[in-house]
Amino acid sequence: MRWRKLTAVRNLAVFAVAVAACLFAPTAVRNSVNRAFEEFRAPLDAIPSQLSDLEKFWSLSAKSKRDLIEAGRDLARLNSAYELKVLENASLRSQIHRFEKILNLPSHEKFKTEIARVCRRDISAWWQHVTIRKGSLHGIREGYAVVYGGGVVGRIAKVNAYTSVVELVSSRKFRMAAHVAGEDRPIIYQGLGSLSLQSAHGEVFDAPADLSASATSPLRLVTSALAGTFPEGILIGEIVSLAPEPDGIFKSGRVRLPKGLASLREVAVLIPVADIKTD
Amino acid sequence: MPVEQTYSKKNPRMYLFYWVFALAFAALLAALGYRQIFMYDVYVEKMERQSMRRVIEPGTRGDIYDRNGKLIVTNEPIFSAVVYFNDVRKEFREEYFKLKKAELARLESVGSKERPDYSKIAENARSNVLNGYLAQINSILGTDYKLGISDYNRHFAQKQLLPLPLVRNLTAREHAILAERIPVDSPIQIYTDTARYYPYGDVASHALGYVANNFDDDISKIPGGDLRTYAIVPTIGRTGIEAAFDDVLAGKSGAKIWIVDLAGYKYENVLDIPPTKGGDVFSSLDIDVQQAVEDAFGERKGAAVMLDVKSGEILSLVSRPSYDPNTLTPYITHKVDAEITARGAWLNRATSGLYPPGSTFKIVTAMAGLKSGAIDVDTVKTCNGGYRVGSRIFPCNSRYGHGNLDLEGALAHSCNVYFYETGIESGIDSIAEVAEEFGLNSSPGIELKEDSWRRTIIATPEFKKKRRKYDGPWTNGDTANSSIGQGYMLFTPLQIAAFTASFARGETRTKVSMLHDKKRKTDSEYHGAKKIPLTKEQYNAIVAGMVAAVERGTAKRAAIEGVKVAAKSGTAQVSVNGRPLTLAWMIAFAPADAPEVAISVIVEGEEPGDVGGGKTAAPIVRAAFEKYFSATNRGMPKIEN
Repeated sequence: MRWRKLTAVRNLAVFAVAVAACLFAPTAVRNSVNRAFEEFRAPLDAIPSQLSDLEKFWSLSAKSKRDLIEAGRDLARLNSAYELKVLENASLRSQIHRFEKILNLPSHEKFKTEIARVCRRDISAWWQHVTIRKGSLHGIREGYAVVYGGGVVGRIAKVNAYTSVVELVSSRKFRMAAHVAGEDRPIIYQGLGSLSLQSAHGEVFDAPADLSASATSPLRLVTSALAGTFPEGILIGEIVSLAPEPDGIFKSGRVRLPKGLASLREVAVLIPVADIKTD
Repeated sequence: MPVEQTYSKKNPRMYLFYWVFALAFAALLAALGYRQIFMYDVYVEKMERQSMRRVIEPGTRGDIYDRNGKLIVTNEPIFSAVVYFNDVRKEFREEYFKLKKAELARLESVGSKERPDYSKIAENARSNVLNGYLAQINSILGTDYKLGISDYNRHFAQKQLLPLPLVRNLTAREHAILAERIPVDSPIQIYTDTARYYPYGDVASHALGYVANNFDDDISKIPGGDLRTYAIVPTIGRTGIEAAFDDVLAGKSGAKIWIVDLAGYKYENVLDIPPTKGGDVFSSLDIDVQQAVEDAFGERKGAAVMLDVKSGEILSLVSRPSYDPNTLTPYITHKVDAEITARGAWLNRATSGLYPPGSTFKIVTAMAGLKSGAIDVDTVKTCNGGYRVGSRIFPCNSRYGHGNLDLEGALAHSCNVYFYETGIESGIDSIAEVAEEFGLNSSPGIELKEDSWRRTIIATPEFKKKRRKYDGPWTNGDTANSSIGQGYMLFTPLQIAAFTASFARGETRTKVSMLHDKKRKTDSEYHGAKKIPLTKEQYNAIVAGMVAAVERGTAKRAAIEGVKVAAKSGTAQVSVNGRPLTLAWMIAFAPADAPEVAISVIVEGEEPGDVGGGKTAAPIVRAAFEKYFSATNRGMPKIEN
């Protein structure tokens, strides 16, 4: 009995010491503990994602031979079409390189892509961030642009060795320079978050006063290369309303983000070529 | 009496003391109650007011458009990276304690009992924190912006509630980079201010005017007049349309009232009136015509005014040399001021330049001659190249004379002799009467403040007696000189343009305006005009003379294809600082048979005889008419640029 009491007291004391250590430990120590915990936890984020991929693979392999043969045929068709596109791209790229060399121009290619699977997305921060399955070991750094087939995903906010956290374009903490497709006047975009899991919105401000947009005739908002983080012309969303700001020079309004943002599975991190060369 | 009785409670003298004490205490209680209960609101308000600050933000100025809806003056954004002291207060405090601790340790280590300079420590703490943010901006932008401790202190002392600009005038790229890379919750914010922007640069600069800081902005109507106020200085129109329509263009200032704490930091916003943009002005200018006229001037000095004959609206108001109003905003630097002053470009020559009208005044002399009966439409006079008045021979512009000329021929060839004779026969009073009827000694009604009509002169014997008495009495020589627009006569190009428009319309006055109004009345009542005191035949004869001047006379270079132009050239001589100079004039209207536009052009010569009305001013008239008629596509083939 006495021993039990002593153990309870000891446990409490250990807990109190741990809390005190957390509270009074220097910031550097706390940061390193935090990072170590993140790295330790990274496989836990990655494993469910890997398992999900494996599960999908098994569920597909359980299909009938006939289905598999048909799917194989479709895939072969798609593959050949893509191979053709890849060849075309390669040919165009080599032509561009040749022209750049002849005309003594700087390289046109500013970004390389690093494809990464989304491995974690918390319900509590659905429109704030996602975790992807690639990190600093894959050349990813904080601030890099992240895109997907439907447009902008966001920006790398935190990098671990094997995983990275992406600040989503819909997050209130996400802001970037943009412009309306077809012109080059800069507009500032910022995420607005959302309570719904289906769709999210953003807002634009500093939009030129002569622009107008409505839900029925929206304006395509695309990235601007001015700040150097994103390449030119990637879709952010559609401006669905614009109203004059009090200064009379600018308008501000709402941006409808693409629906695909709610179901991200795979994204591409844009790694600046200049950084690769430096590394 | 025993001692006990003397000091007992029942002593009547003590009663008096008790009563006095009780009354005084009751008075104190009453006063306390009065202050606590009845004066409560007053003291609460007083306390709140002591802790309130007002921030005034000016409204943006309205835009200016030309008559075709083209934007000719607007505002452009100026982006600055700023920090609000409120947002970095915690960091100030942390840095302050860090520095204070270090200073105390230093004093202790040297064994000093000196008291640390706490205000200096606070200043250094602010400077360190703000320099940290400036360094952050510099590292993101790759720049080397610097601010000193005095900049921070001045802002802290005088504008604590206003944003502190760390970097002003960010480029679009810098703005984009900072917007992307500075965290949304960082104390560094992008602040947007506005500056006046003139997309056409120096075109129409005198007509449009410029703005300057208005330190006398009336904020009396904004609530919180008795509060300590921090104000962002608004702008006010100084010249041109900017000044004339300032009441329309000026935005309405907004205000925020903050409750601040003891250290002066924002605590709670209790009033927020957003600023509102000023109204837009639709000017009468046609920016394309304006541009064409300015291009035609090239590097020459002078002025031109083109009017819509019916409405009196000013299509073009040119004064050369001009200046780029974009260089005057947000403020005029000494360098820019000195450069504009050296070129003599501040003067609006179109409305404030005073010039002798030269031979363009022969239209007035002709009207005076016809009206007085000195000549009729068929009167023929002989020109032998000069005209003797007393002992002096007044020359004609043709050395060997024009021979026999009627009125039409005299106007076409601008024969001086014809008009010397006509003027002397009519008399100076007749000439002055016609000039006055046409309002050449009054304002044409333009809204701009820079109208020097009060300094214009219609030469008369009374004028000479009053203002030039040392030149002796009025002589026939003075009349002869006045007949051809020389001598004492002085008018502004705007007045001459209004005169031309009036004549073209067959009336005596034109009320000019810088505003475009499609619903404007254009009748004689609006203009305050009467019918020209001539018969139709007499009027037509003068018009025929002006048309002939374009077809075969001195104004040939003003001719344009497809439109009949009526014009009168003039070349006047003046003496500037004892140096003789030549002025080239031309007035014109078109189409001659149904006038739409009228123009006056003057070009200042640099050397005697280097310019002439027909040679120098006529091509400018032609450029203006070509642009106007090609744009309106009336009666002439399209001009290929």
